[in-house]
Amino acid sequence: MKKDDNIFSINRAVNYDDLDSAAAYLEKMAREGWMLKDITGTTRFNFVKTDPGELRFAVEIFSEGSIYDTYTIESNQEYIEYCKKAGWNFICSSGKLDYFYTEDKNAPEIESDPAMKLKTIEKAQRQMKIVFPLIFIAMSAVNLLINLTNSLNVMECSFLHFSAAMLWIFVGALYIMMLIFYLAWRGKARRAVACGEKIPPNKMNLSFKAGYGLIIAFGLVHSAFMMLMGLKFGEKEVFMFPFIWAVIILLVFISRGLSVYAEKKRLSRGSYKALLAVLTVVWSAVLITGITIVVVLIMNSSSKERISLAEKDMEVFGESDVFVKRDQTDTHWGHFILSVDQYTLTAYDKEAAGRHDDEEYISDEAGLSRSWEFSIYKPRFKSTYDRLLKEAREEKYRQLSINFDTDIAAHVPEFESDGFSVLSIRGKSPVMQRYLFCDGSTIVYLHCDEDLSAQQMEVIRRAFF
Amino acid sequence: MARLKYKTLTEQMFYILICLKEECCGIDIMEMVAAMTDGRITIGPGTLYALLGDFVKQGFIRETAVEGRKRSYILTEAGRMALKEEYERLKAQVVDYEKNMES
Repeated sequence: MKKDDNIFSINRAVNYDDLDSAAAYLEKMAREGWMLKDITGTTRFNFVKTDPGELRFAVEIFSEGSIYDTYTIESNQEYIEYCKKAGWNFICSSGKLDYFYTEDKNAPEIESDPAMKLKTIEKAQRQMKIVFPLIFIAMSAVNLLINLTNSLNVMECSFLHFSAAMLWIFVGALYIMMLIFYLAWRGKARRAVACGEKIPPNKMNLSFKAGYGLIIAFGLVHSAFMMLMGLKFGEKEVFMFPFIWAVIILLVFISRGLSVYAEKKRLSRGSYKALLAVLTVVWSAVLITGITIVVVLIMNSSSKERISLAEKDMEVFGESDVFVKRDQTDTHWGHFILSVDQYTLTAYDKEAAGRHDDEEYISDEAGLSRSWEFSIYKPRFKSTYDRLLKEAREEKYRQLSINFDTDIAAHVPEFESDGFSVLSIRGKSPVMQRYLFCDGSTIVYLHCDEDLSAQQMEVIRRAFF
Repeated sequence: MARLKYKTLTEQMFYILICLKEECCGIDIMEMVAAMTDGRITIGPGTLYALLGDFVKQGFIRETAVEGRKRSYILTEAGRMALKEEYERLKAQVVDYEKNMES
């Protein structure tokens, strides 16, 4: 807001379904001695000081206009001529909207057929109030479906994934609400028009300040909350949220700056659209690059907590002629409701490989003699633990599910005590064997290529429970 | 769909088409209608502009001349038919009224 002696500027949102309130505002300003001069972009109203007076204003949608128009296009000029003839003086155009005033109290309404006027409004609103909400609702639904079916475990492991799903629910709910409000207004407007009444204004619109304030406030609150929770659950990746929000909010201001620039240069619809497309591409690149850098920096700087086997225990996995090494591709999946650690122990035959140096054994396929794949599930709640075992029995596929049919597995009797049990599915040798170690709170799933000895099982029990 | 749109004409459409029985400038129609109806019917400039565009698309009128930003139009045969149909419809309404209410 800028106010000097002769010029006054203010940002205002103008909604196609509530144009009368925009006109009423301009009338109020005129009564106070401020006359609309022009509009910068689509939101910044510039007034000049005049004598206070009773004027009538009209804000109308020019249906052949476009929100990408940066100046009053030729076909609009003809429309303006018609209005002038009826006593309406043209002030300025902004996007699809034309602004008029008249001193004549008897000048006819510019749109004298409410049914046609409503059609024009509905057409102008379709993209913003119907198409966009439907796209976002669909995206939210698909996202939710994927999360609940395939990625539920990932969502439980990672607060980041969980909150992303929550954000999608929020976005979906928001757009459902928007759609309902709009359709309710449209129904009301159609009924009013059918009865020959005026189109009722849609009062469910946000003002300029409320709209921008909400984006910024939500960005700040969301960033702060995410960082707090990220610290609690040890997920430093959430530090990218302040960055994402800064980029989004900056984009809002840059696109507004761009609209001012386009207006100044009197860009054609096509050039302006192209400019916006370039901005979208550049900004997406900035966002993606930024997120990648943040995530990579955090990933490299954070030492992941892993459950590790003591060196002396490792020896037990192999016989004396076998060298055992932890694989490089170990994965750790968060600390939220569930933590899943996956890693592979690979045994290399010393004789066959003929070398002792760790790093070179990894690449030497000849030395590979056997491998064990561990997945350690540590759920925070008993209900999650129970669900994991139930899913294992039902062989339900999820991204981090336990691939183990507990119904056909046999108990290993010597390990049945105090709630601790070992289940095994023994395939026909030399097929891979599968073991499930459970103690009521932690599940260790092992996929290995040989029958475990009692001593080896004891090592696993000591290491993980 | 397009046919359905103008199955019946609104009063404003009716008078616009009447004005165009002879070639005239679109912008003058507002005054012509007001004069013709003693101010009973006023057509807003926005509505007039939109209807002229629709009528051209519909084939009810055609453009005859462009002078600067002023376009002139004239009624076509299809427009004449539409007007006639509307007239018949209104006349039938009047006959029904007289038959039932004034006997």
